[in-house]
Amino acid sequence: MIDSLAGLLGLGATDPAFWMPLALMGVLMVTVVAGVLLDGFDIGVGCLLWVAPARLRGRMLSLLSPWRDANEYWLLLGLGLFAAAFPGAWSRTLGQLYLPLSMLAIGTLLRSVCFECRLRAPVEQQGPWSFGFAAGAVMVAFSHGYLLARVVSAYEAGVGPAGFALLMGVCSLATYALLGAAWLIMREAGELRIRAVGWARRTLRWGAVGVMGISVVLDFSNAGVFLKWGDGQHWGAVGLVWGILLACFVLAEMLLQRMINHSYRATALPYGLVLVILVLMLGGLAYSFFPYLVLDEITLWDAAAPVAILQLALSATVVALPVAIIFNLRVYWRVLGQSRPPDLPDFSGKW
Amino acid sequence: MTQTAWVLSLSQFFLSLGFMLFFLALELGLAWILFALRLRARRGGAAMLAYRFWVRVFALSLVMGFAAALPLLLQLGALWPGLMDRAGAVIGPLAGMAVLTAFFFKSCFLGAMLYGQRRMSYTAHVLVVGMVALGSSLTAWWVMVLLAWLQWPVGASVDDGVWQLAGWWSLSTGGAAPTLFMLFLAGGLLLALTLMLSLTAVRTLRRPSDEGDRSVFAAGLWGLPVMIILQALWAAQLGRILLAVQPARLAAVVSQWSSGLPEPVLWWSWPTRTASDVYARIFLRDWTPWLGFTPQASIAGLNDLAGLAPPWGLTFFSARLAVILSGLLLLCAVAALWRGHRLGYEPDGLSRGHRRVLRALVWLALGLQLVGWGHLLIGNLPYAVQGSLMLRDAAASVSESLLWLVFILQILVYGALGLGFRQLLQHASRYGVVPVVRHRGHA
Repeated sequence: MIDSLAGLLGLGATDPAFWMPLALMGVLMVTVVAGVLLDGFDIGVGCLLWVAPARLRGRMLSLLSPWRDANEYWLLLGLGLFAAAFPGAWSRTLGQLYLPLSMLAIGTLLRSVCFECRLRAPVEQQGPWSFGFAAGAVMVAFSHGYLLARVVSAYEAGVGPAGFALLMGVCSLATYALLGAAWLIMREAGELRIRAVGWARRTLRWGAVGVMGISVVLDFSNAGVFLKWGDGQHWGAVGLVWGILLACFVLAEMLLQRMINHSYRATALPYGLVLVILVLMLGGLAYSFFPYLVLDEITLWDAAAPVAILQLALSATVVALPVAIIFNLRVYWRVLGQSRPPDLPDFSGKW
Repeated sequence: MTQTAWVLSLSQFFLSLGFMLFFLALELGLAWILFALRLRARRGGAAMLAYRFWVRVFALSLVMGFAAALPLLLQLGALWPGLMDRAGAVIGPLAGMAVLTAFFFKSCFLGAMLYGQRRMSYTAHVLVVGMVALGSSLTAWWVMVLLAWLQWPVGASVDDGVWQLAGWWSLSTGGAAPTLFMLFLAGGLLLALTLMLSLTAVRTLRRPSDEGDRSVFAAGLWGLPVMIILQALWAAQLGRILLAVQPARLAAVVSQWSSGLPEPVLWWSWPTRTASDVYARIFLRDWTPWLGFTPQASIAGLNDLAGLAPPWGLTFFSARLAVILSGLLLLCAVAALWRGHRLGYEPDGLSRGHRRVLRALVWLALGLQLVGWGHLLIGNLPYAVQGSLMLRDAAASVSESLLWLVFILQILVYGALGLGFRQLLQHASRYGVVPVVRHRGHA
């Protein structure tokens, strides 16, 4: 497949102009996936602060504390890499997205600053900072969906695409809330878990709407993508992807239903299922778009910077990767499972 | 693009840029001061006390500066998409390098500096603090290279309207970059020193000063005049460098309306739109020789530049305002040094009036940085890349109502964050810092 692709471009498979953009796109994809998965529960918990009772908010925020430093990076790294390696796609993508990008910018700023400032503020001043963090999380979650919808509908103007973008914004908000709630179910016992089950139940179906909406619109508004998925050659793979998606949603729904009846077995499973759904969705998107950055217009080779700069970007990545793995991914190694053992009942020496 | 949309886009971009540059400068200045303090704090003592307090302020400003970088990058794409089309080969790698450098140094050393002091030996911790300072400088270096390149494009060539990187080395060390970086460093140290003086004045109002306060007070009093002078010298040097490449800025600064030999550079004059000489001259002396430049060739006047000149009013007044503010700051700094020397560098003896002046120094320094950066950025203006690419051509077409909406939201958010930062500083100066502990994996 690699050879045929290279032949299509009139380049050799070992030509740096061919494989370097491909490699950097791979790194970029990894950054995006890491950003959605690892920063995702953070955004989700932030969104849930709006509906959580005040006495639980402090605990929810302190649960996020260990990963904040590492979480902040993904978006910035992705943008830096995108700017350095694919400047040619910058104006056709980012230039069309003023409103959601501004929202994303302000939301991200609020999230990073407010969280750190809340940690350093005295208790009586923490309220506004928590509010800022929650507001930022909602803005980020909404703008992610809005951005994705605009990209998928090829930046079309009009009422229909705008409405679709709004719907996807809401769905993405729900999906992040679902991710956050599922993470909380796994992390913490007690009242927070009971409430998180409720939140997850309410947001799960909106998540399904989002995944379906994105897929359907992408498929039916673009002949190339439709052909890719529906040309009849890989029915097995397509069926498998949709089967897994369906199974994940149904299983998550059933698990949450059981948790309402106080059967807290496999508390990590909902989180795992949501992760699988998100990875499948992102993978599907990547497969649909490849090799285009803007559908049918700009391929990643068109948008790539000259080879000298790609070389620089790759060598920078080679330096950054070990750092990212050693210092940042190491942080995540306790992100699964319960945060701390449940409190023992108070026996107070009567035995 | 309408005039309103143009002004709104510019204001948005400059607001984010100014916010980031302020915290980046403060962080850079504090990083080197902390390194000096940590170096002297081998056996605890005054330097250690000062270090413990100021490292928290440093961490806070680092968070703000780091977080403010992302809106800037996004706005670069959303507001000026054409910039990356035409100059992406230069801007992209420089922005990427800045991000990567920040990432690298923050990941490797910042955690150890902030949370690992007790687990490290003196030498190791000094090294780590030094690496953080170095990392801040390198990050700032890339940002300054980018901004200097926009002022004076070196190390790249235009090919069919698109910029291509010619020499990585000449790009990153040539042109105005080194001067701009030194100017930025001096500005950062200036900001940090005024903040230290001001917070010390506030802290010692409510409780007797400790050793740390006294050492910070003395260092601040001596460092401040030096930094003001250094900053002025670097600014003059930058102006001298840019004279040759930005004749339009010169025309606006000396308020030259018709083409010819440049008008004399006057300290203060009132510009008029006519060519006839109706200056309300206050200082009649010609400072041109003092600035060390004797122009031979004639330059184009503002009337003949027709749309290729920067906004003359802002350029003209910002240059003079910067000089006035520098002078005022220097005056205050020397007076404070004299007063502090008389007090034996004991901040407890300061009167309320003096404390008020010391507190005002921060705002003065902040105003100076704002005016200086405003002059630099606005003086470049019709161009994004001096002499070749107009910023207006690179703009996205966004409706005015959207621009208003985002601008108002941005002012609210940035204003709230700025006020919050101030509130945290005030709280810290009154009650001491809130300790922050962070464990890996636990919550």
